[in-house]
Amino acid sequence: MTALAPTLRKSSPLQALAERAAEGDTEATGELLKALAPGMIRSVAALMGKQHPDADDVVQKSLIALVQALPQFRGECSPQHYASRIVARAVIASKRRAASRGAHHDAQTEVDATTSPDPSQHDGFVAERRRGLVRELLQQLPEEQGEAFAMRVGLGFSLPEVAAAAGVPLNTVRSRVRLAKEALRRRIDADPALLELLEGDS
Amino acid sequence: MISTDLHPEELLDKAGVGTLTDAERAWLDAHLAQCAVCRLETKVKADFAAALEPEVAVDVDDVVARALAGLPQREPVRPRAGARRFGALTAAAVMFFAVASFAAVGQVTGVLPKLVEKIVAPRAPEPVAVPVVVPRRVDRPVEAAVAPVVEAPVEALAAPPPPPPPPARKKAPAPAPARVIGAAELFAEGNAARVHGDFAAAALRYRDLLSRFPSSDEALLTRTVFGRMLLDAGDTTGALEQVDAYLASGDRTLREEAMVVRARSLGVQGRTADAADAWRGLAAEFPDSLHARHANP
Repeated sequence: MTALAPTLRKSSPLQALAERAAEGDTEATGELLKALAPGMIRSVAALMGKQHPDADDVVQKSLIALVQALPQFRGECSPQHYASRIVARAVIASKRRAASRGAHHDAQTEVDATTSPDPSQHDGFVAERRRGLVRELLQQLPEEQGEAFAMRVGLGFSLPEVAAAAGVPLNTVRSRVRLAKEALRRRIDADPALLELLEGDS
Repeated sequence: MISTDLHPEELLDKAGVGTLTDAERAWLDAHLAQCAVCRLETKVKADFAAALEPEVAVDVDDVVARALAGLPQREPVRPRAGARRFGALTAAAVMFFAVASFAAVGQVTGVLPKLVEKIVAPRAPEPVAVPVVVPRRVDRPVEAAVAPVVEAPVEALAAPPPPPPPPARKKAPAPAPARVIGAAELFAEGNAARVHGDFAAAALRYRDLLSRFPSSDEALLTRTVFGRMLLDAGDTTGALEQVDAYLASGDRTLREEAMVVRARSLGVQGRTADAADAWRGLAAEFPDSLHARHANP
């Protein structure tokens, strides 16, 4: 269910490509980006919303950040996971910048896109409300909690996969996810009606 | 309260890939029945999975071409011998801050090992944060990275005097050659020790480097890396000393990170107005910084 292949690998053709790219091989860099870009684009769309006007900008920033970060890639996770982490960070940074300049695209546009008088659309509406809640939360959480939560909930990573991608101990990730879920709990505690809506079947 | 505070993350992972045993399934179901957060998380994971497009509707070649065109051309920080090596060092240091430093901003979550007490001068107690260190590629084994530093002068080690003639009859085993410790080695060893959580050893290497090779490229980067480490250890005065020295150098490679360490240190010291000035300065110089938001709390 992940946007990018979740299996951790010791070595792979992609990993070899990443190593060559890290050494400055421009041809390898291009090939690597072409291999990783589709997953990164899908991840950005999932985490930000398909209609988000900043999505393309975030994809570009993520690709550039990935190339710049390759020299530090140690191969402890797959290149896809590494790229996912960079996407998560870029999405969160973008959301924070948008919040600081008072931009309000976010959830409502996405919800509007799925709102319809047709009852068969209700499930999609509720699902988008839930995604919107998580996107809103990513904007408010401390960076590292948001990053872990985005990878885990938004991209479907397991705890060990998040730990490998982030380069931190498993217990650190566990703690970050727990704190993020605490923030989610506070949010729905404060609005029981929201919880009732969000718990609707989809 | 509508949920428990302990969430069975591993079971949620196993449920996601369908590998729960019957007993685990029963346990997880019991938890989900009382935990609204985990119920919601389960639904949201499915929502996001459903939102992932199987095909990308954009021209990937075009997206990649634009990204490649947008890659900044890296220039040597200092146009002199050793600049390439400095570039590599800089990349490592920048990555350290791009991940570890940024990730830990605002987090005060625990207490450092007591070892830290040995590396910072006794000062008034201040909040202590656990540093988030990102393991990086280590070029040598950990044992070598934390081995005692040879204290003999570099020149003497680099050019040892000719050995005395061997004994006529019995050959004594040849002494192990002394290791030459230069700025690069100290920097690498300090970083390796820090990555492995041996902050005392890291501090020894960094201080040694600053003392013996104060004008080296490595010393310049160490000012910010070490400053950040001291801040995490609660030694805000030491941190300020390091980053102020770095900022005074005029180098811009780690300027943003140094300004963050400075602002945070001032904040921890309770110098609210100075800290606010520092955050505003950061936001003015680096408006796209993740930390710029601190300028307008």
